[in-house]
Amino acid sequence: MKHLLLFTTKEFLILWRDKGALVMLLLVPIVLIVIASFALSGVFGGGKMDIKLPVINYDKEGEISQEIIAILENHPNITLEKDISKDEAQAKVGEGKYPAALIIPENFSQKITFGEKTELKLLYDPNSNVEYPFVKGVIEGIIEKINSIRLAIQTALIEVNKVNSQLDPEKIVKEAHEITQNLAAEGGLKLTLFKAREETREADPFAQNVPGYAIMFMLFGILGGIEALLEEKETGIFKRILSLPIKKYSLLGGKLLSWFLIAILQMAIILTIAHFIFDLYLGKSILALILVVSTCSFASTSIGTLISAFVKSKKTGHTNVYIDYFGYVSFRWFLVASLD
Amino acid sequence: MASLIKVKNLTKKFGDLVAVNNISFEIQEKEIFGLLGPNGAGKTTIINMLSCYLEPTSGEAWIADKSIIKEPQEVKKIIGLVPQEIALYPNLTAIEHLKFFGRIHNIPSKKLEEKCKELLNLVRLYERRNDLVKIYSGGMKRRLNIACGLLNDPKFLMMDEPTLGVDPQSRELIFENIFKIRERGVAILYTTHYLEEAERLCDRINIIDEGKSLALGSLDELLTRLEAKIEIKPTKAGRLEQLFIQLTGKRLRD
Repeated sequence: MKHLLLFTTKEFLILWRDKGALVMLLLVPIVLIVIASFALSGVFGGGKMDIKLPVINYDKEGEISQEIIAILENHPNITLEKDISKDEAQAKVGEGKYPAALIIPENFSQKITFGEKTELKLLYDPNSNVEYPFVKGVIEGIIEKINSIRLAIQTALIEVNKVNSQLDPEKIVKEAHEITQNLAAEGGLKLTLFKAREETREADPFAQNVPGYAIMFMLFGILGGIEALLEEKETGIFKRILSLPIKKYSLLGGKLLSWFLIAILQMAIILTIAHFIFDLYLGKSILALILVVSTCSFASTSIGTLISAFVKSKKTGHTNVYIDYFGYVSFRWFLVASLD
Repeated sequence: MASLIKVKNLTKKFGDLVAVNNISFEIQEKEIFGLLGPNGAGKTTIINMLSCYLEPTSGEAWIADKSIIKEPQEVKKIIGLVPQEIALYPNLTAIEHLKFFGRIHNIPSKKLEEKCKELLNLVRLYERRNDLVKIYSGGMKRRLNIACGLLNDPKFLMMDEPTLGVDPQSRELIFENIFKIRERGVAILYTTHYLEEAERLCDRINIIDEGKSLALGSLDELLTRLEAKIEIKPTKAGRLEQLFIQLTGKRLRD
């Protein structure tokens, strides 16, 4: 045990003096995490989506057009640009500055009310793959709602006309409109939602990237350990140590313990920095976190041990295959973390 | 005088390759025993077996009556090894190396401090004891390599080409050290490519090639014994060099 700790202490001292290795183990992952997280924040929905939508309203007094504008204004992901001409909107959509522009035609509300043919127009940028489909979906939802109101009004008018054609249609429309609105608000069919579990935190790019990168660089750290071990074999240090009165397990155990502790330390530092600086959510149980970190470190150390058992020398061809594979496995973590 | 090291019919095979073939010799206390041979002759394999790093395929060896096969841990306590490679950590200092290897030998702290000071003075590195090895010259590294092999006051020291790639000044210091070590009663097994070194240092020489022993004895004994077969000319090349070339031939052993 004394020898085992002696080897572990020596490994830590050597690592402490190797500034390049320290940078690779700690600084590079942090820098990479920050760059990748900010770069991919759009993909992961890290920031709130804020779509600017120009609206050209030629039906300024119309009740229904006012209502459409009100719905869009209250939407959390849409900011309306109302003081804009049709030409200006068309130019900016064409330049890709806006994903789409909504055009409400003249007498839109009146035509809807009396069942005449009319349409909303959406001028869009075909290259907008995320924002335009989102806007289109929102507007189609509004149209569906208007159509249901329209159906109710038209049905009411037909039925009233059958009984008394002398009645005021405008009054009827107004009343029907109110009834439809009230039904929708109070007595209509509703969907009640039940939570199946407590709400989890919204995934952000740091939550996606930090664990993946931490694992990737942990594997790279173990890879460095394997290379150092091979170097010791090649430079005769191994031979010298094995000619000393120690058990082989002290030498191997000391190496593995140092790899394991370095991996845990590396994970702990990366997660702590990510937690305090980037508000990374680490779960509710510190014990569970310690268990996960320890298990990952143990698994990485075990893979490292397995590889170092097969590898004879840094120079042999098959050694490079093992090391390359290990590097590939490490890099896969990056891909899994970033793209899955 | 009783032999400190006895090697009997030592053989090591790697698959079909016979690296060491039935080698036998004995080394006395205070004796510097040279093991000479071209590249691949089996010198390092013999050292690897005597230092319990490799297990012999057959044969046996005893160091101070302890078997390298049956009592390797006991053997390791009384031997010192100076490997051919510079077996040092670039990011440790000289004093850290000596303390690290000394602790593996379980030397008590106070004694270890004294031992480190003594050895650093012996190899003249005391003033540079706190410098990292990576900034040492080749000669300094070789000298520290030797000091690391002497921490446990070994009875038997194996030096595998300890002067490889060092300047004449460092080589002189290493020779001086070897004679001082011998004076302490240590038996030394010395391998080298520099035949003038062997001529100057070794009491007896074993010339080996392709794992087999070709000649064993002091230089004078070998020359007398082989006088009838080998012609030694009065040229600039040393007597040992002429003897070596005539015994092992001129074929390259890459």
